[in-house]
Amino acid sequence: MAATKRLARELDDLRKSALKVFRDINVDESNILNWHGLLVPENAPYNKGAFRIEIQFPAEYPFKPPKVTFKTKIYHPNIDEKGQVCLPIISAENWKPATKTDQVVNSLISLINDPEPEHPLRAELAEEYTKDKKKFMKNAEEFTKKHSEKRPSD
Amino acid sequence: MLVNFALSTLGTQISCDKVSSDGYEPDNLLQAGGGWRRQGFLAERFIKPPVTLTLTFPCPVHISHIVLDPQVGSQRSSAIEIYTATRGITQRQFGSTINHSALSERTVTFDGNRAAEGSCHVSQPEPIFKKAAFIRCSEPGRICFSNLRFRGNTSSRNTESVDICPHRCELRHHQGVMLAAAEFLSVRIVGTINGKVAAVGQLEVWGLPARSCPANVKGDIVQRYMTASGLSVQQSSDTSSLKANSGETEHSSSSSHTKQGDGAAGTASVQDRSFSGASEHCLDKAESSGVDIPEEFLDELTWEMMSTPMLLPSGHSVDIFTLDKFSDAEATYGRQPSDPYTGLTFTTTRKPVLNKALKMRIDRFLSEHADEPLLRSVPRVLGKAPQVFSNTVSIDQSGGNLVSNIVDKNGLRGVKRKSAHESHVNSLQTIVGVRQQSLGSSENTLRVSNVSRTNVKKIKTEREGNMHNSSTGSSAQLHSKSEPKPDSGTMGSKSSCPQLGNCSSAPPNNTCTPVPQANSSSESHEEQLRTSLSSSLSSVLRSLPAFSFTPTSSQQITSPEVPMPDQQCSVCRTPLAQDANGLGRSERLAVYKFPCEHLVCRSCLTKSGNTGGVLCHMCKKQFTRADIVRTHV
Repeated sequence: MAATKRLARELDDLRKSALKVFRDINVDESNILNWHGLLVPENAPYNKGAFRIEIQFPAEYPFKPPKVTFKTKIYHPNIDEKGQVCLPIISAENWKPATKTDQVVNSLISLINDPEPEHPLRAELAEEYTKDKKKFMKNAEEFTKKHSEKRPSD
Repeated sequence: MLVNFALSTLGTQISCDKVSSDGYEPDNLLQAGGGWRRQGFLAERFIKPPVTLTLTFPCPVHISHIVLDPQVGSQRSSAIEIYTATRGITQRQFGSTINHSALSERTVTFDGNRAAEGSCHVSQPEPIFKKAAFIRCSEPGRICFSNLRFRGNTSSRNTESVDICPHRCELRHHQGVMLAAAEFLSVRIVGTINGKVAAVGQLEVWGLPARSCPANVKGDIVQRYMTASGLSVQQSSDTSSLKANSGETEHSSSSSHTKQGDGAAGTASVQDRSFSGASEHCLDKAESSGVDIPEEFLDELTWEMMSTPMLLPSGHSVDIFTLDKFSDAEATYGRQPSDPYTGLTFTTTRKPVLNKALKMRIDRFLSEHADEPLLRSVPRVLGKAPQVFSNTVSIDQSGGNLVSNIVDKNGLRGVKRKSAHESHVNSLQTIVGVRQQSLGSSENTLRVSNVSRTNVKKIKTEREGNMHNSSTGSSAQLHSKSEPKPDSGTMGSKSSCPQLGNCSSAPPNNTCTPVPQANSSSESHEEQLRTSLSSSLSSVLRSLPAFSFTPTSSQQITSPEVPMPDQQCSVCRTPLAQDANGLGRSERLAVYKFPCEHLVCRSCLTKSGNTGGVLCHMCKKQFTRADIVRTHV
């Protein structure tokens, strides 16, 4: 499979670079196409917790983009209830085979840290975010405390 | 093992573009141990940043990390840039040309202050320095510049010692070669604290000789490094005790450097030991897993070995298969083929082209490492590198054998191998050259790359040399004949056209070429030569799969072959001859031949199963499947 070598390499790179915001990268030994990791955002209101994400690579990777889904519920205008994310960098029309997974992760983190209410997946949250940011922050913080994973200590 | 290249004993040179303080010359940074290394480098007090220190490595270096102490006494640099440069992937000669005296010639000495000549770059072709890192730190402490793309023998120990450094910076450059095969390294001090003097207390450049280095250079570097750091293998084996104190010693190294004696067991050597100890284990691992594939041979998109590298308009090289797959994937979205890096569609002027230089290096690498299990699956157009071709083959007695050797090597693999071919020609050239010197003919003929032709000519030349000087005329005629022949070697390599055609057709032509000989005494020799040539040729041709025709009938006369057994399968006794059952050529049974000359039909051959060898029913000998060849009766 063409994807294997590339993914092994990227995994190696990601683990070596030891990003603070994306850690605990778990990959099934038998299926390197499926990664799990813990996203640790730094901006309020998501800095109260951590979020499990799943990255699924197609067998045609790197010619087809990977898919990112949230396994932990998150109160975010750009992420829907099912955990689907709309990330421009991995959309089919923008995808470039040269894009590395760490770039994908970084763009995901910047999306989490700074929501884009202009391109929402959950319109009601986007509206709340633009109209009443205080309320949004309060709701999001409560939601995060309730649903998200524990942040790693270090 | 990782090597600290900041050692003058390895042949590394250092120069500075500004005047240095008395006793704090840049050379201090490269001293092996003792007080001088501890002293560090200080620019003269009136010098303002930037100050550039340039290291010239003895060979291209794959940099793992750089550890730098920016403090000497109370003087401290606060902003540092790292630059690297490379002259390309060429293999630089190592050893004799670079020594320390060469450096002192290039530097000018005034009153103990050394300064490099105008430019800090000492090499003749001016290398282009590319910035790989920049760090600004107001706090004291050592700085570690690490290359995250380093793929050598990394070890946990390695990162442990790096962890001690309070400041980190990543070495990064979009051109991998700048860090994977750096020949020059510049440390540029661009800022100091409160107008203090630019200082570098300690400099360590850890890395490995680049993969493009020849193996002997790598070995030499490691050897020198071992002796320089006072290492022996048994010392490095006990790493656990050193592990504990390596951390402490490193911590104290910046403060306690004046206390260190001149003994070799200074802080640096303890550190070195712990480094090498850890990485030696990894070396074993690397050796057992096979060869290192140079990074540049890998497709950056798939990390597979490239077989046909295509240079994209964006400057990257990817394999043609990758490009095709990408175009297919793009086509599913209804898009035109484009550059996978930039997304720009290809046009008549902006399109991928074959990266010939890289292709050549890959081919060479593949042919040299043909037996590595790692590389078995890589598609290739080339076979194996030649076994060491002995120059001492005696032509006088076995000229014919030489032909068979060469034809055998080239022909059996069925494909054309340029590198092998060239080396054959080279080795032949030496012999031919000697012969022809005695004849006084020109060296133009050495270019002829048709091996068998060269060979035949050589033998003829030899004969002429032996016989008379009067036959120079005929030799000249031969040379002139062979020159206009198109260079089948290079042509064949591209189209992978089987050289078989060459082998089977050219040599008989040569043997048949009547050489006008005035002297009748040469008849016997001619005859002898012809016999030996044709016998060796027939033996060669017998072992080859015949694609066109095998002139068996004509060769049976001369070759001492085993008399042909009945034209029937040795197992099922089916007659195999063409006219036996009146069937056409295509409908005939496929016939295979054992090395013992017995024939077998395809159905009997396949009946014996896929595993193991095949038994010849006539002589009850076991043969491997590879020895059985297709033949035509």
